[in-house]
Amino acid sequence: MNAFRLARLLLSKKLLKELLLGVQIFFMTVFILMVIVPFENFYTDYSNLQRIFGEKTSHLVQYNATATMQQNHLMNNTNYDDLLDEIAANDAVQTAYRSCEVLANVPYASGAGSEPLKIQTNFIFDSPELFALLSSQLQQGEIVTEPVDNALPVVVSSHFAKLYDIGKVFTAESVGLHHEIVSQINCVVTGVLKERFVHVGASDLSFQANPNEEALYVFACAPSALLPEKIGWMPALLLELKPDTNAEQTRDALCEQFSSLGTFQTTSDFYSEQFDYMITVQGGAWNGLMLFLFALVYIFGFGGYIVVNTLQKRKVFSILMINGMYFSKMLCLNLLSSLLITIPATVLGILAAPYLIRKLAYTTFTGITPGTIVCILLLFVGSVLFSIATTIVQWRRTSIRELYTQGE
Amino acid sequence: MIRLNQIEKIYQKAKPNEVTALKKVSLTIHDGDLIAITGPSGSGKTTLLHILACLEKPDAGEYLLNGQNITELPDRQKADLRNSYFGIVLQDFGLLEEESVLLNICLPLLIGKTRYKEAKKAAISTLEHMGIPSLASKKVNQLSGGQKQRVAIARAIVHKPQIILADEPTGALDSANTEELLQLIRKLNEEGITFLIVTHNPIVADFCTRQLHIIDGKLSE
Ligand SMILES: Nc1ncnc2c1ncn2[C@@H]1O[C@H](COP(=O)(O)OP(=O)(O)OP(=O)(O)O)[C@@H](O)[C@H]1O
Ligand SMILES: [Mg+2]
Repeated sequence: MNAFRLARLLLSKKLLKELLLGVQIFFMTVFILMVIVPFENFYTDYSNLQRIFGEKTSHLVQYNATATMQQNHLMNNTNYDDLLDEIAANDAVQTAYRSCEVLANVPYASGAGSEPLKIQTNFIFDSPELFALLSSQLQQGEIVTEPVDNALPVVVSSHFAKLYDIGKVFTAESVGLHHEIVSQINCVVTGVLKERFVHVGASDLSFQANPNEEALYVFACAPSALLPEKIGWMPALLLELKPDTNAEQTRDALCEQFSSLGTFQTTSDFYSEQFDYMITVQGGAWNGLMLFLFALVYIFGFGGYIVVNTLQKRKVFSILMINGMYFSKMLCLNLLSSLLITIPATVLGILAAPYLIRKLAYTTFTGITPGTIVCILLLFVGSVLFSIATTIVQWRRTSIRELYTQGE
Repeated sequence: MIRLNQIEKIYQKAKPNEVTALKKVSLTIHDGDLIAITGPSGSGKTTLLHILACLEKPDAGEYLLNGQNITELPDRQKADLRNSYFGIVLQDFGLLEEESVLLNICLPLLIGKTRYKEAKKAAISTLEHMGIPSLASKKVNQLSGGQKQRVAIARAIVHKPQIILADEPTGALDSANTEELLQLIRKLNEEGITFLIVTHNPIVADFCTRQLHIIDGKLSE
């Protein structure tokens, strides 16, 4: 307790000055969290993928058809199943994951007496292997493949669950390009996905989930007895290769064989592309540069403030030394006194960040995760070390007598 | 017992403004001594006091404390000496101006890991001993120079040191207050505390039992 009593002596009596430091750290914490988020999301997606595929993560090759083929599939119902089968028949391929996305309307409120209001959702049919991968990403419920009471079992994104939670039944109307109703499907919700999940087969067959948490997603296993026709798979595949194969070689071979029919990417191709995209142009902001600059502002702003504060405390420091304080203990006290301000400010910043950042309408922000906390703590510790080092250099060069006479 | 052997102190060494503040100073201080150090301004009195208090390191010579050479002692142990063996009164008090008298007096004890409650008790009884208990709750910057001087002395004796090193302790006092302070010093000296007092005041110098004189860094008795 003496330590706190003595550390308090090192704080300025002018409350405003200490508060200013607190406010500065508060806002820097919020901004740092904001610029860290894309990196954190990137990391989360990658680790989600690794959780699903484990060592096989490096044995994935993704196929995307050309834009024209994708359009033909969407607009003219062109069927590419033969091509997909041909690709999947490659010797190196162990499993080929397929999916198909349609737009479907779902009633979300019953208008008084009239037709219920409807909302558009992304309805995604997965091949059984792909559908099974969702089971480890549920926050609630389970995945079911056989019809339940004549309804198609589906798992939904957490946002969709606000409309229809586990056990609820609803009718989805798949709509065509001209908003005409193509078919009606009776569904029952059996599972709810985590807020952020990886669907390695959605729409453009990206490895990554759509980070927009507002999106309404419904996933079902196909084919199913309840579905009227054969599913027209998207002209895209995720290929899981056999363990003893080489992903790069397989990619090159497939590229050569199907050169005019789209692109083939390995996991690392995909993630290095994603990473480049993230640190350069995403959201029109230069995330990498921003993070770098903010980290510098943070360390020099925060660390520098402590250094200046410490220099202004020369007299108190010398008086304590004269009365028997020794150097290392003095450093600890000085640290403690700055932590009294910086820790509460950082904690408040972390608590307020989700609210403030959403208010700023930074839509890709998905909340604070353990990863972002680790980043901010690293920066915090870095700044503290920076200030300790500077203080040591400053104080060590000066005798107590000089500190006393120079102070204040 | 303290022995200084051929102590030298040079400021701004090897720079154009180099100053030799102490020149081959030798000195023995016996337990129970009551020593006055006089000398013109800039002669090295404060420097000598700071070296005795282990606040500064001599550039040459030996410093023996009870037979042990302490010039090369680690900073931490020197700090412990200041916290227990020495009581230090600085030329301009060395008090924390914005803190209470009580807290200022508690400092050596708090630094020495005494619990606050006991430190407070010791501080109050020291103030009573010196006849100024009413100052306890005042802030230092509300005090007169004479009051500050006493508070500085109270802080120097609160942890019951063996020797008190005082730089101009009567500098801010009028003759009546000086007389009172001298009575206090006598009382403490009779209780066994050794004093080394830097002073310009001939009354204080005469009051002491040993007089040392320092001119231009050279000490004579
Ligand atoms: N940090 C320093 N750098 C350079 N010179 C210094 C330093 N400290 C003291 N001196 C010089 O050392 C000499 C002795 O100083 P000291 O403070 O010991 O004198 P003093 O006898 O206490 O004087 P006063 O009676 O005015 O207090 C002086 O010439 C002073 O200018
Ligand atoms: Mg002096």
